[in-house]
Amino acid sequence: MTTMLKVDAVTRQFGGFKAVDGVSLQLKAGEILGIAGTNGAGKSTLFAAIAGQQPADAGQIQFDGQDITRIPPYRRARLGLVRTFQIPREFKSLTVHENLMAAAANPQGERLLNAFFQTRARREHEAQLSIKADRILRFLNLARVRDVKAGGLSGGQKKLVELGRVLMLDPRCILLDEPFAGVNPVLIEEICDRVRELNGQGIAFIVIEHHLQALKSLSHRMIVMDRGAILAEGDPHTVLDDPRVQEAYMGGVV
Amino acid sequence: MLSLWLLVGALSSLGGVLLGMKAVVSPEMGWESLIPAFAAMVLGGIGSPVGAVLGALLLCVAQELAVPLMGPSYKLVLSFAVLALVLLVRPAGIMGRVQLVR
Amino acid sequence: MIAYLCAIGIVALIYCLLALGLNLQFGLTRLVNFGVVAFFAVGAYTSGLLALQGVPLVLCFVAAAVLSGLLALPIGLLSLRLRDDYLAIVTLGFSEAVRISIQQESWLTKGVQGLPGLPKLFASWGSGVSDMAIFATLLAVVALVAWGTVRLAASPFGRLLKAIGDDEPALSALGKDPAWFKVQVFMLGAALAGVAGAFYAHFITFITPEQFIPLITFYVWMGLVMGGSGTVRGAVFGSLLLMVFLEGSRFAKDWIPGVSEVGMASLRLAAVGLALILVTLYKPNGLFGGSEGGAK
Repeated sequence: MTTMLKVDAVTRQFGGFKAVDGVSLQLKAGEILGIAGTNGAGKSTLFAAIAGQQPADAGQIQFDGQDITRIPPYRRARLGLVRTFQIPREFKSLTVHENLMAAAANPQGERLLNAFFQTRARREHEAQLSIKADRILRFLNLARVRDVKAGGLSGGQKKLVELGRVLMLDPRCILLDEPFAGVNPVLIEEICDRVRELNGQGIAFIVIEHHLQALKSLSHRMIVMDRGAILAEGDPHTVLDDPRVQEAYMGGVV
Repeated sequence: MLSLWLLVGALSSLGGVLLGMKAVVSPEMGWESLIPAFAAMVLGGIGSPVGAVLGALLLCVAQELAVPLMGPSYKLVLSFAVLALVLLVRPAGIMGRVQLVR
Repeated sequence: MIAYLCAIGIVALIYCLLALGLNLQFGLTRLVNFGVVAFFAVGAYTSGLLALQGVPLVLCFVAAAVLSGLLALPIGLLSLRLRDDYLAIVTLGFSEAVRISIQQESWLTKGVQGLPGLPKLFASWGSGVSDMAIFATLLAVVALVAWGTVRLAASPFGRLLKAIGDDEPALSALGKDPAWFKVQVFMLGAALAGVAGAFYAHFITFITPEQFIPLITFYVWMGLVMGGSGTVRGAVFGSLLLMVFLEGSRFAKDWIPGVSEVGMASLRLAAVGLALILVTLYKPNGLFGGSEGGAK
């Protein structure tokens, strides 16, 4: 399997404090990589460095062999590398359907003049995107709330809207930041099923989670982070038994 | 938080008293100082008290030196130009920490 | 009486136009523009100066829109680098810089003396009728712009503006660069303000730099916030409410003892500030908006 994402000794620091300290990892095409770790281990900051919300102070990031370390987030997303956020960032004033439509790549349709003079081709393109959005909403079981303003949804539904939005981009690699946080167990199972289905279609995932049971069952491979660095790496079912991991979690039930 | 605003109010009124000793006291005088004060803070570096003092000194000297070139009425325009330029080129200012303006 | 109602109707519609422009910038895209009056002034002076040279009024209006729009380009580019509160101060400083420049460059603008004797719209129709004609024209223009903004908000472009207003970094993370959209919105709102300025100039027929102070910007903001920013209905009704306030306070002066004309102006400013605070705290969606959201 080819390497899709290569993170090479990436460091992100604030003053003297290293939130991410020389982290290296590789993601193979079609893989699901799980990242676990204590709070403040630097997991979300690592995502921010990979996706571009924060700059890497050292190290290199390669996606499909291309160096993306210095390019802005919107360009990384266009290459097929997308992410969701720990606290959902839905577009509150838009409906669920509009949230997905806003994500869809539509540079011609989004022109100012297009608001008033729309060619037939543009209208058809918009209709196609709408059908695609509805298909994704059905896939995520959000069809019921299609025309509800996203600001009024439950936390779990908002996370699904985020997932729906990134799916509109036909991504190759999705970074999921705590997709199960605050979500009821039944919905967690549903989300896992969706992720497996999407993975079956060829999309690679990196998933940050605290729900270790769900993460273990979902991931092909797992990484545990602590204090900005990688503590252990390997098979999901054995990596958590590593004594260093146990110690980092301070004897908590793992 | 409340004490922050109280402190700011106290410092500002001190500034007003000092300014009033030199210039004319009018209801509008605070308004005229708004943009220059902001520009001075940004120039010196947001988050740095030493920077604020430095920025204020530099800006005022620059303003006065510019008077023979532009006339007294353009002082505020100069402050604005400094503000815009600093925010564009070096948002951290002279002594500021990480840019906090984006 | 008719003449009086006509006059305040015209001013109300001018504020409507300004509010509709600001609604695009702040209501949809959440760009804090405290420099509205700068584009209003540039529109008024551009149209006035050209008209004094004999240029046909229609062309003057077009020039006003174009120049105001172009002036917004540097501000739009500046806004890409600035967060809300910094953008507010910078746009405020910009509007003062524009006003002072207009005041100082008297070789062009006649400075503090202003431009008297500007051609009035429909002047040849006689004084009473011309005011009604101006009112009717403005009404048509405001209706057209209102329709235009509704259409814009419902379009993919409008969708993107609302997304930018809701969560710009989230939009970037989805592969879209908000930059050019923000600049466009700034320019569009500015062009509308320019047209409003041209109408103002050719109604009042005498403009001076002193008329284009930041207080005008805050009046527009008050109208928009009170009416409910983000909706056209809010912008329109808010402007009407604003007019009631402005004209009403003119009469209130007669009832409040010991208040001079100048004192009244200061009281009005205080009232604007108070109204903005109260509305933002208790009715953040405006008096005509919905009831979601509250003080944060």
